[in-house]
Amino acid sequence: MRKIFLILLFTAAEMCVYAQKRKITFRSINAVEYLIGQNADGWGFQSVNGIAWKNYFTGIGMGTDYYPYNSYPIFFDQRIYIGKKRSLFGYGNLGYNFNDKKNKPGKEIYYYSSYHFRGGVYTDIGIGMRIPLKKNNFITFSGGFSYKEIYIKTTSINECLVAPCTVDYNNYQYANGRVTLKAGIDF
Amino acid sequence: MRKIQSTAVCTALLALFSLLSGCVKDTCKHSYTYTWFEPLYKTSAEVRANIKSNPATDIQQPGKMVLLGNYIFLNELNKGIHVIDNSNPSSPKNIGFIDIPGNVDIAIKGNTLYADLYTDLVVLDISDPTHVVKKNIISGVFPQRYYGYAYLSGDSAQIIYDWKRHDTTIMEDCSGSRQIYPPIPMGIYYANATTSMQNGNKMSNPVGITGSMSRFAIVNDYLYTVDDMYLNVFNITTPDNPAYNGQSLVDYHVETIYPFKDKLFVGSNNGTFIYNVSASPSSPQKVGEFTHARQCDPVIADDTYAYITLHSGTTCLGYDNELDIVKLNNLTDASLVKIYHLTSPMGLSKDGDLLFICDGTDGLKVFDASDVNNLKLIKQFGGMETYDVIAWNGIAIVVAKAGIYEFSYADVNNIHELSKINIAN
Repeated sequence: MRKIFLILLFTAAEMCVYAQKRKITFRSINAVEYLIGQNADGWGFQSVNGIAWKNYFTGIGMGTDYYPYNSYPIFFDQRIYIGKKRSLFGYGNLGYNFNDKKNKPGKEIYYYSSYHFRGGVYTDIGIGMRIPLKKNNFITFSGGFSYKEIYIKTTSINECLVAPCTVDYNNYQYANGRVTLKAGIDF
Repeated sequence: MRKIQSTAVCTALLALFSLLSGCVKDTCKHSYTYTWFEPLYKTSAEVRANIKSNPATDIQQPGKMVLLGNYIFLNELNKGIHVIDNSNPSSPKNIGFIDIPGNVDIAIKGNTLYADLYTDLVVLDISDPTHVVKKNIISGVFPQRYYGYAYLSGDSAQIIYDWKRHDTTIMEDCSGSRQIYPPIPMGIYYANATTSMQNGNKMSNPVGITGSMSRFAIVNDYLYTVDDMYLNVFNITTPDNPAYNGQSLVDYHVETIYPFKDKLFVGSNNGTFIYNVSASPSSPQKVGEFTHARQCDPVIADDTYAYITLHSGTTCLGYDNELDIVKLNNLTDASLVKIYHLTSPMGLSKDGDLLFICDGTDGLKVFDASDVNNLKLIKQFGGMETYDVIAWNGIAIVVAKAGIYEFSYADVNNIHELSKINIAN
C-alpha cells in the first residue's frame, strides 16, 4: 500500500511539473458515489487527480467501494469534455480493486477453516455535467455503470486421525455490475 | 443554454441506464475442489476369510494402538491392525497385518482381541500374535457405523474394504446448493486413535493398555464402548462370545472412554462424564461430570485428578487449546484446578509424576506433574506433529505424522528417542 501511495505521489508531482511547463492545469475531482446493485445499494468515495488539457483530462484515482465487499479501487481515469463551456463530459475508469483486509466471508459461505480475499478488475464508465462555481471550480454530477470483481478462497480441513487430512477448497468469484451516481467537487 | 445541456445530460443518462440496466447484476461463480473416496467392495465371505495374520504392510494412516506385553497392536484406519513386535523398543518390528475393514478401535484382554468391523464386533485369539485366529463375529452391535450413504452397495453382503481417492473440482453459481459431500464414513471422524495406561489390573488375563483417544475400554469382565451418544456394555466373561448388555445415553458427540480402576471417564465435545462400574458393571452409573466449552477433549485420570486436553479444529469447534486439570476427590463435584494453554493438544498419557502431552506441531511435551498447580516442562521433542501417546514402564510410544516413535523415560534426566517406524506416504 505504501508503494502504491508513493507511486501516486510521484505521478502527481510529475504531472504538476508537466502542467507548469505546458501550461496545462492540475485538477482534483472528489466525489461521493451511490451504488445501485441488483441485490443491494452501497456507498463509495473517489478522489481523482490529474491533468486537464483542452477538452481532455487524464488522472489517477483511488477510492473506497462498499458494495458488496469493501474494496479500494485504484484506476486510471480518462475524461472528455464537450460543449462550449466544457460542462458535459464522458468518463472511463479502468483499474484494480484492492481487497479490504478486514473483509470476512458473508453468510453465503457458511463453513471454512480459513479464507483469503483477493481483488480484481475495476471499471466504471459514464457521463456527467459540471456546474461552474468561482475560480474555475465546479460541482460535478455524473451517472454511469461500474463493474468490479473480488475473489474469496476458503479452505476446509477435514478432521482425521493423523495429518495430513484432506482439504476442500472453495473459490468464489464475485462480479458486481452497479449503476453509480456521483456528486462531487472539481477544483 | 444550461437548460438544454441539463436536458441533454438527463436524456443521455436515461439512455445509458436503459442500455446498462441488463448489466446491473451480481454474479458469483463458485468452484469447489474436494476429495472424495470411492468405496471398493468385497463380499462378506471374502472379508471374513481374510481376517487372519497376513504379511506385514506399510503403516499409512495409523489410528489407535493397544499395548500388550511385547506387542503393539496398531490400527490402520479402516483397514485393520498392524502387529508390531516391541520386545526391543530400540528396534520394533512390524511383523504382520490383520485385515479388518472398517476397523477403528481395539481392546485386548488376555489372549482375546476385540475390534470393530464397521457395525460388527470381531473377536480374535491372539495367543500367537503371528498367527491370530478369528473366533467370533457379533453382527450389528455398532449400528452407528452403518453407512447410510448412497455409495453403500445395495447388496448387504458386500463390505467396503478400501477407498479409492478422487480429487474433483466442480463449477457452479454460488446459489447452487453443493451438497456433494464425499462419502464420509459415519463415526470415523469422531473416532480417534490410541489409548491410556489405566486400570493397573493385576490379573491373569492382563488388559491391553489403550490410549486417551480410545473408544473401547475393558474393566474386569466387561467391554465398554462409546459411540456418538451412547455407552455400550458387553459382558466378556466368556471371552470368545461377548454378550451385549445394552446401552445408556451419555451425551451428544461422545469421543473417548478411559478406564481407571472402577471408574470410566467418558469424554464428549461438551465435557467429561464419570461412571462407576463397581456396583453394577453391566449398568454403569454416572457419578459426576465436568463440562467445558465445546471442544474435542481426550481425558485421562489418576487417583486424584483428571487431565483433559481441549483442542480446536474443524469438527471440534471452539477456539481453546489447553490442558484442564480437574480435581476428582469429590466425583459428584469435580472442580477445575488449573488451565495450561498449549498449541494444539491431543492425546496424553501419565506415568507416575510424568505427564506426556501430544501438542500437535509442537511435538511431544513431557511435564513434571508432581504439583498440578505448577507443571514443569522437562523435555520437548519438536519437529514432529504428534497425535497420541502411551507411556508405560519407561517407554513412551507416540503416534505422529511422520511415524511411530518410541522414547525412553526410564531416566527422567535423559529422556531420549529410541526408535521410529516410518509411515509410508
